[in-house]
Amino acid sequence: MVKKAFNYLRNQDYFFSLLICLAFAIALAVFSPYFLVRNNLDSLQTTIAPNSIIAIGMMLLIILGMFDLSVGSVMGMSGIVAGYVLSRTALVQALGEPLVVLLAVLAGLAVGLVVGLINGVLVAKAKIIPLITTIGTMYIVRGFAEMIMTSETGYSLIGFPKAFIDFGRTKFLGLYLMTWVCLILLAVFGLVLTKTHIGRKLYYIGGNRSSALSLGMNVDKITIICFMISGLLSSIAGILSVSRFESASRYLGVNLQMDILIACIIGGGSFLGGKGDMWGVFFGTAFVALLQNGFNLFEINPLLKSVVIGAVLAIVVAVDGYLYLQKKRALGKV
Amino acid sequence: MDKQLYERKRFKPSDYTVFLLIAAIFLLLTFTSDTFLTYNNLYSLLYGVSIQFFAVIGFTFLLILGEIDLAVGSMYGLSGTMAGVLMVLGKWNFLPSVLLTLVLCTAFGAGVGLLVTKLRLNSMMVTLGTMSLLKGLTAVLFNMMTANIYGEAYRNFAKFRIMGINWTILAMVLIVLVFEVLLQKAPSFKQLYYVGHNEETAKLYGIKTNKLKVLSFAACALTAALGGIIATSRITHSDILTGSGLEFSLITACVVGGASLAGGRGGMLKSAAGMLFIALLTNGMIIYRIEPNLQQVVIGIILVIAVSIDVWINKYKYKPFKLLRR
Amino acid sequence: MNPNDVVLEINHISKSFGVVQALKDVSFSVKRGEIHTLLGENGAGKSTLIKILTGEHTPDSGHVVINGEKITQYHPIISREHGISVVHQELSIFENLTVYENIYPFPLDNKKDGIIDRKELIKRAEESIKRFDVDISPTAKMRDLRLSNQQMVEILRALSSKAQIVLLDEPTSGLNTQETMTFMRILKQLRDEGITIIYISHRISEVMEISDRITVLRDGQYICTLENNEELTENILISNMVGRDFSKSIYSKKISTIPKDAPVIYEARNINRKNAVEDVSFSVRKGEILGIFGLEGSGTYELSRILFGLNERDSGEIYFKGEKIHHIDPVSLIERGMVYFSNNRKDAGIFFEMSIADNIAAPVLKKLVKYGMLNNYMISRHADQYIKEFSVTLNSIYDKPLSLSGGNQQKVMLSIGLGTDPELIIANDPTRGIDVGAKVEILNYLNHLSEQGVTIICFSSDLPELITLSDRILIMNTSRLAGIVDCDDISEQSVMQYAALVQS
Repeated sequence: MVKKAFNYLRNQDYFFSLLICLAFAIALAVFSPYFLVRNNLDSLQTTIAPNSIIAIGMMLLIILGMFDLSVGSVMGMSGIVAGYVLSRTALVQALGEPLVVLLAVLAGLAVGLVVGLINGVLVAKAKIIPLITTIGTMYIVRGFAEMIMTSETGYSLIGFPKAFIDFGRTKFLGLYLMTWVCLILLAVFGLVLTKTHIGRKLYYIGGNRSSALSLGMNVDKITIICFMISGLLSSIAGILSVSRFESASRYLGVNLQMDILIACIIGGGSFLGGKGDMWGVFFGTAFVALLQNGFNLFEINPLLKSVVIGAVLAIVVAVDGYLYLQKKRALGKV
Repeated sequence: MDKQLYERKRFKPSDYTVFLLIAAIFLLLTFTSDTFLTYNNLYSLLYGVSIQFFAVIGFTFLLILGEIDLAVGSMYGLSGTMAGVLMVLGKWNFLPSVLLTLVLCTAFGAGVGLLVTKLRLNSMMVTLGTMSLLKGLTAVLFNMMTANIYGEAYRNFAKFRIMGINWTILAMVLIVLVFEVLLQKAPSFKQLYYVGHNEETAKLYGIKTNKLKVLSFAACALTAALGGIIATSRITHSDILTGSGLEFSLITACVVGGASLAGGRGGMLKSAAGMLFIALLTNGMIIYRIEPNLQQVVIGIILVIAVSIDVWINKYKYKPFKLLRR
Repeated sequence: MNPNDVVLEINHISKSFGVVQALKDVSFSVKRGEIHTLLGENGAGKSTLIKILTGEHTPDSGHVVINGEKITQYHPIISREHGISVVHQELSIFENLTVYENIYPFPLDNKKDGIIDRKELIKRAEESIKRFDVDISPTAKMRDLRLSNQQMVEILRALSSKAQIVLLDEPTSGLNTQETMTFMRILKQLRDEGITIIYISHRISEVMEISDRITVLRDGQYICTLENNEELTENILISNMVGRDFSKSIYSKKISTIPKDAPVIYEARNINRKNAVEDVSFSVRKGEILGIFGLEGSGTYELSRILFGLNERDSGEIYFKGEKIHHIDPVSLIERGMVYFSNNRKDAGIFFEMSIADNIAAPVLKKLVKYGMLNNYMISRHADQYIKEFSVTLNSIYDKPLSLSGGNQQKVMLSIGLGTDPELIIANDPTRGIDVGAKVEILNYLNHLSEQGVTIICFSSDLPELITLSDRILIMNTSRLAGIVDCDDISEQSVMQYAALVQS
């Protein structure tokens, strides 16, 4: 039975991320007395949950053979837009708390949908490669977010309605509500990817684009939808983070796209497309979060983090490329 | 020889779009603002361009080849800080620390080039990783030496003047002239265009594509590092924000100047003109008190438009989704 | 013939791509429940016909009738609705997915995008696999399968959508003998179940074993449809495939003038590359034109690339003028006086967006300099030399090749290579996709070069062209050297025998 389960796991794309995730968690638990402390676990949740939510969208795109670098900016912008609406005390007095919270959430979500739509149309219809498109929107959206913040005093927006803050504070069965949202989204998208035809289409398109086209699949439409989902999920993550931190900081989501991209690749995705799943999203983001947690727990210079992340990405790309080259060799195409 | 057969069509309007754009924005600003057309404003604008221009030299080679180095901005940021650390903490002299920095940065660039050519990787993906890596390194080095003003020799580096003009401006003019000629006339430089137009064909006719690529990646790192050192010298201290987003404006400048992300196009004069255009635009936005962040948005939008036009013009050359992988 | 028996009619279909006419007024019909083979050389028009049937191309004139219904609009989805499915030569599998997902890429029973019934899919996949008695697990990952099984899965996919007509484009090219036999058995089983199979292959023995009827195409024209009965022999098929009347065409049989004792200038020894080239050795004499012929998938393309260092090889040596070449790569080969003509100028061989002068100067840039700088006068003189020699029609040497006709583009491409003053030319289909006039000029020029002592190794899938050019023809079949025919014995028949018959 155990052996069978192990064999099953070994054949999954996420096996590697599961393994290093467990190894890392055990190592941290053994070597640091502060790892299994309530505070630390809570703070782990507040990184893993929003990152996983964003990584879901990223993973959909990676399965398609694309990616989205604007996720960090969209997360920040959505959080800031929502925070901006929420911190207008005059508005709260005029409309009442529930309505303002609703308005703020809708405004935040709209940001993600619009940016996702723009990304999707530029990639699918204008045929601009995803990298340039989403680097462009990354800077543009960040610029807009900064503009909102420059009109404010201080680095973050604060003073939100109580209902909104309570949502971020509430725990259910020891987990924050945002973690529950994350788990539900993971489950939903996991089911969509494995059980529905539209979900499987992503694998067909990412695995062999031209064959999928000749089978009559609507590649452009699906591309646009996936970019919109990626934007929307980034917005959700932004709003949830703002609710959890009780403030919308101008640094929300800065450089996050790297962490997410690496999490997805470690979680079994490939820049080639056609691979990846929701387990990989979870274990991948958990690994990146644990890595950062390790930096904190052992008081290593946190600035080294981005060195490690960059190096990991470069190595991952190199290994991915090397394997591809080997495969081409085996097929006699080189 | 039949005359008509050998007559060169010298003027091609599409080659000069960027100069028209520069002229247009120049005239616009001249007539609508009193502060624009002053010696001080134009001089400091040119001075700023001349420093960033260093970074675009190697970057242009790469774009002509059809490759890209997204880490160019991070390299620009790293070099000044690295030289600073050597000088301030290592108590090195000015010259050796700058030289060592340049050597290290060049070696890093060559390493990236080797990785890209040997494993046939997509340079965008690799340099996305090295971008983050170098940024992190800069942050680490920066934290080792906060708020240290650099030594006299370093501070004077950018300020050095020849006949009352900053040497960087003169260097820019010289470099544009030299490389514009070399790119058109020197066989090894001309080969960059061949590779950019069609790498497979270039290989077929005995052009050493891999060697050119490694050298260009090294050159890109070297010139970016040099630019970064001068930029740091100008502001007299290390700044964590040096070079942030530079890759973005360099791409915009080059593509506006007529380079293509599909390779085979572009030139030194055009890149310089593209940079000048961006600088004029930024200058105009400052004059009109447009927020710095909106400036970034505007440049971003220009990038997207320029790339769209590029894709549209060079349609047949793009294999949109194969660009991820060679 | 009962009209109900005819499932598919091809009515006067013509199709051309630029100057190349791929199909000329082709008409024939296919009966329900037969295995109907399309036979012809490379470029006979089989693939174009298949692509019209699958809806990927629209014919210029003529039309297709399926089950008595005239097709008015050509689109993959429409063809599929008419019950046509296809297995292309190139695998179109999804290798990260499982076998059953590859068999059923669409929702079952045309349900709208809904929940996937995994168990049902696996069950059905298992049934269809069992039906053909092959050993594949429906839940295995496609990438873990052998090539032959991957091909099998593709065929199963073609059948999964309740296809009435299955087009198979050289499906056995990756299979070994035993697998091919299994495959043949399955095809017969399908036919007995009433499915019509249109089969493309040029392995003659295979075709004779499996087919009910055989339609022969040649140079885009319909030649005949033969019943496969006792009277049909391999020779009848081959003579129908080739049987051109040389007296009326641009081609003529070459009379070799190469002395038998001319020195060997080039020698390839034991060239090996897994799955592509198996132990090929040959030598070429100075001034000789060696033709290398092989049908699609025989390994000639790979061999030509290996000889010029464009593809890697597993083992093998090359000697040029008696000297072993240690680094087989374009740079050092060009230095030694060799040059390669690419077979597909769209992919490689010409810089479409650079000026014609720049194109012709590409391999010799370093020689066209004065004081280390490129000299425009020297470049244009260099270009001029070849433009005159080939009589390329153009407006200005600073135009781009994109503006030229296919024939002139090809001439420019040859000029680039000839600019290096080569002693040995490896030419890969030097006249592909160009009009007859340009073709004759290029053939004449190659002959002229060989008279001047230039050695040419010419890879071509165009048999008449090789017969016109070659002093000897070397034939490849299933990755191996099948035979060498000397000039006196060269005929379409003799070459095709080696190329099309399975070697035991």
